[in-house]
Amino acid sequence: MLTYVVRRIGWAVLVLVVVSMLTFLLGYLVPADPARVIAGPNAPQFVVNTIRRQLGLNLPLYDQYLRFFGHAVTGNFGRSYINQEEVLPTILQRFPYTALLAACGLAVEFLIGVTIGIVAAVRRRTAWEGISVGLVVLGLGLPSFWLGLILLFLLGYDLPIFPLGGYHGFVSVILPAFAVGIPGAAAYVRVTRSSMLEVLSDDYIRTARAKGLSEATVIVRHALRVALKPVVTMLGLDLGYFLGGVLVVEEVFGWPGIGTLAWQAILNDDLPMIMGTVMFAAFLIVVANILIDIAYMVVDPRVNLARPTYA
Amino acid sequence: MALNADVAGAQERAPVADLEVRGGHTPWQRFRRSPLAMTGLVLCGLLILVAAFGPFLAPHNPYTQFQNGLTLEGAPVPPGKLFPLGTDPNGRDVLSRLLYGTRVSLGIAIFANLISIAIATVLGSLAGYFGGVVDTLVMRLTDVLQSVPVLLLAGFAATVFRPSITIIILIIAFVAWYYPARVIRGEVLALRHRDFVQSARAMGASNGRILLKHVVPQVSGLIAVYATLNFSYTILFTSALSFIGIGVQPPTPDWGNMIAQGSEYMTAAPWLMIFPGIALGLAVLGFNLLGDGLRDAYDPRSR
Amino acid sequence: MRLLSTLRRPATYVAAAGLTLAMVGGSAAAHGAVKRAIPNGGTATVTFQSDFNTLDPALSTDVYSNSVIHALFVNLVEFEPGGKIVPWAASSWTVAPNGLTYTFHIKPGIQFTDGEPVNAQAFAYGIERVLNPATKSPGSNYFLDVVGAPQFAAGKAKTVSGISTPNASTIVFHLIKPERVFIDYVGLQYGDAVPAKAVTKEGANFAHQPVGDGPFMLQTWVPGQKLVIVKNPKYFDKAQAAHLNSVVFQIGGQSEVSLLKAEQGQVDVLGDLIPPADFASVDSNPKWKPYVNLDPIAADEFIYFDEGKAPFNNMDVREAAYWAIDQSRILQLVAGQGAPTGQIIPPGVPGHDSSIPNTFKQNVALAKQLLVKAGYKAGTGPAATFWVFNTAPGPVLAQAIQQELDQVGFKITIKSVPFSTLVSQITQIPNVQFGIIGWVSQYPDPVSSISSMFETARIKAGTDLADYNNAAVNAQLVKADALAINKAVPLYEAAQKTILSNYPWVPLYNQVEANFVNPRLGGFSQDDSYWFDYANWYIK
Repeated sequence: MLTYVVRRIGWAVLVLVVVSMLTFLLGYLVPADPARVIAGPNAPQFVVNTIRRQLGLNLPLYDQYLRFFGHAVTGNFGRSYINQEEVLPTILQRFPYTALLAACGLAVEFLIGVTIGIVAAVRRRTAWEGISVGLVVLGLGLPSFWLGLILLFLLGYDLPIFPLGGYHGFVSVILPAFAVGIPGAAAYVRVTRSSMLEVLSDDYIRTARAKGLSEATVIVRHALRVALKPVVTMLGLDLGYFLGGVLVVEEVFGWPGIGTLAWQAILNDDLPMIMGTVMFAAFLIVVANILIDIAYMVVDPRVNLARPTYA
Repeated sequence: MALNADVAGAQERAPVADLEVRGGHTPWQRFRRSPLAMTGLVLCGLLILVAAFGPFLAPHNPYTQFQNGLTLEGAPVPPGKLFPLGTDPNGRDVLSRLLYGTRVSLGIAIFANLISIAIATVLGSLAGYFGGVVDTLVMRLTDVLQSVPVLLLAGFAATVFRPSITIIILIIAFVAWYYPARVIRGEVLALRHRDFVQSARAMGASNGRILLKHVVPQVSGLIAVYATLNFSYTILFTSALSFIGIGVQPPTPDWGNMIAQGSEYMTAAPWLMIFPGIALGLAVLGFNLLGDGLRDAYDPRSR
Repeated sequence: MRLLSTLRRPATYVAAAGLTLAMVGGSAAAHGAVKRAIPNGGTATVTFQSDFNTLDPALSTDVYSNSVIHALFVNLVEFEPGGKIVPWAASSWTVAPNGLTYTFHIKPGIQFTDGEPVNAQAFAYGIERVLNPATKSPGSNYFLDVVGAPQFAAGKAKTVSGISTPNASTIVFHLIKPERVFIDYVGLQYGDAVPAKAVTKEGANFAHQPVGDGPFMLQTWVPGQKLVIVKNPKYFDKAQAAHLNSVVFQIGGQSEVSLLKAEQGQVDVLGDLIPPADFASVDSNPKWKPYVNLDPIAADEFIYFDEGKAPFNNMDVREAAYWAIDQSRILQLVAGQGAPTGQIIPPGVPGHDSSIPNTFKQNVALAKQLLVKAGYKAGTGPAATFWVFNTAPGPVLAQAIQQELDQVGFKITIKSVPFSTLVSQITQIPNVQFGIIGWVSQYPDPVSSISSMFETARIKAGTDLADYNNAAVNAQLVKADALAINKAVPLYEAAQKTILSNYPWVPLYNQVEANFVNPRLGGFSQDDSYWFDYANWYIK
């Protein structure tokens, strides 16, 4: 197990390096000149050139990358081109907001989605199936930003129950969490239901039923554990994605998280901030995946990812 | 006997107690029996018809900006006689744009979806079944791809390459395959240790045969589910791309950029956001019901 | 959205010279006017979609950051509505008859909030810092006409020899050549005094923890969320101190949502203005009409052609495009937020020629004829790519323009890009064929409105978007730049007429800023000098 974890960490580091190269390359290719953006449109060319030299933008690509890499491993991601803020401290300062939104969004998704999915699977050909399909369709068909705007308008303006965006205490996270969670919940309903249906017709379930165990025990103790595996995978991937900043919802709600930070950075071709936010998100996703895989192995001992698997 | 029954694979083994004889056993017959599945089929059919023939039904040219398409103050015109679903901020007919846009949006979603599901199935199955180096490579690949926040990557790439429809399809396919791939890989991984696979191997079946005849059909339900889930994801992703300005570029109409522009006019001209949203919802509904129906029809274990 | 309008309103001050202050929303109480009757106290709230870039005067390029900087720092002079330049930290100044020496006398007793004195040395330090290459200031070119500045900016000298401080209350600038607008430059944010000790101590963090001397001081800045400035009790001019106790800036969120907040009364002013999509419905609603505040500013919105590159290197093609445009349709699309114009210099800036008509009628037949004259088969024309900012109203206007041009035979592709890409591309000569853009006159002088865009030297500088290159006109403009304004105006008028006849631009309209202001807020106005002048605001 330990060697497995070590190996995974090794791979994770490699993955992060590749991600950094890919993003750096894209940054190099963007048809925007950060020196010109900093200098503003009025500045004469020599000011722009001076800034280019000072930022090291006239160096060859690999040279720039190596400088970046050298600083990054010490935790120094430099300063934003646009407002001189230190990149990593800024990201860390905004991260808790995204984390809060992510956690609440996931909670909404999971609780609503899994519950309805289980019910729909267990109560086939009843009204519950129709409700679940209805929710699925509603949720899946709604873009999160559309839903967010509607929620803001209805519950923030028409009925001023919630604040109109921004962070003003915990109550501010409720609308965005639902804007993020409802479309996501639909996916969980689908997968839970489908997975439960497959499990429920498995032999050992029939055996459990035949043994006289109550339906509730059958579902919760036997079926659920197995059926939830794909759901757990989804959770893991979702978590990583969320923590990268649920960009669009953050934009709609003016949520001070790293999603808006990253998007502004892209619009401004603010390379240090772009590299910082992308690497930060990548790091979180990679860690989440390692934890998911370990969880997989713990939950289902038949699956041992550590051992060579051929024959 | 038990060995053979296992080897034959779950697909051919129906839970005797739940079998409904009435109506027949073929997949199509099973499909036809489900009202939801048929609804899905009808909806999808309608959408495809609109995509194909819609342009002939459109009352106006979707690109024409009409003089009387704007009020005197320059605002879009609400739904009325001349423009049944109203006009957009440039004075163009929303209904016509919606009909033309169906072709664009459906086309992108379907192509991107097919490409990504194909990649996901192949890579996911190979990774889960063979494990080892193959698994590691595929998983590391998905790690890299999903470690770059999807929307940011697409947004960034779109500032480099001009967002044409081809590029959008490629970006979406590129970004949508690793999610189902990982899940498929997880399922195949678990299946690999199941009895029927072990027995098949013991009986000398080749890996390819096992994969094709036993493993993939087992996960076909999951594939079908993800194909339809993915459809919604791809179509929503397109509209998210448009919302941040890098999807299909105006003046080409597409549900995504119509909703994106409509969100600016949420209070001033709500029809701009509502109708493309309904179209989107119907498309997602149809494909989901269709996918559900297909899965139920081909995989009787779930009945 | 806000940052993208930076190019629409590139940073710097413009005195809204000649603005009719009869506009709704409270005439900007000029400093020193009816101050006694105005109540003190209270807090105003302003929304902004994007965060401020910096509060370091040397680094700021956008009007939003500048508006706060103007509240935090003091210049030697300041702009009054109407275009007058009046003393601020300086009690008076003199200009030598040959125009090469400017002497400012600084009022005694002005201090930064950390106790450092605001004296001649502080101003010299501020301006040298702008010129210092290590600062990477976008404003260094404004002071390059000071003797010794080019050497200093190139790193070849340790100080700027042309700035001298004979005593603590006198600062003298020697110029290389006479420059009428030097006094305007001194009033820009780049001319602020900054505290040497605090700057050295804070380093790059000064931009986020500024120490100033203005009517307000910074209390909090939570990046991405909010910024709060509070009244500075140590401000040197008690008679002209701020009225409000504080101004709170709420950062983030869509501008449509900010409008909803303002309608609920949570917010007093929309920093990003009324969203174009909502203007018509707000303006026609009797409940909200009293909140609507319209301020014309000295700015142009225009289509520019790159004369150096095909297909617009042919004047007939440019003229054809000109006549294909339907100006009235464009104005309809920006309803209420533009006043038509037919020339380069905006109203309120000397040199504006009221004999030039503001509107022109679309003439499709003429446009087609001109294309034939240019060598294209009847009904066809060249293909070209049209560049535009990707925030409202850019894309809507671009599509209208595309249809109008396609109608006469052009084949237009729209390239809708974010600010960073646009500013990078249009300042590089060969990259852009044509596009639409808004440009604010930086200060109430034709140097900003016309010379900076049509003098030959500006091609390499990047601000001559049309790559206009005419030796005779250039000579006229350069000569006019050195003259006193009343002598210079006839030269500018003549130059403008010559330029217009060459069709480098299609002038469309002058922007009118439409804001949504809570009636409880007095003293509000919006102008090109400082965008929002927070020190004038008060709660009624």
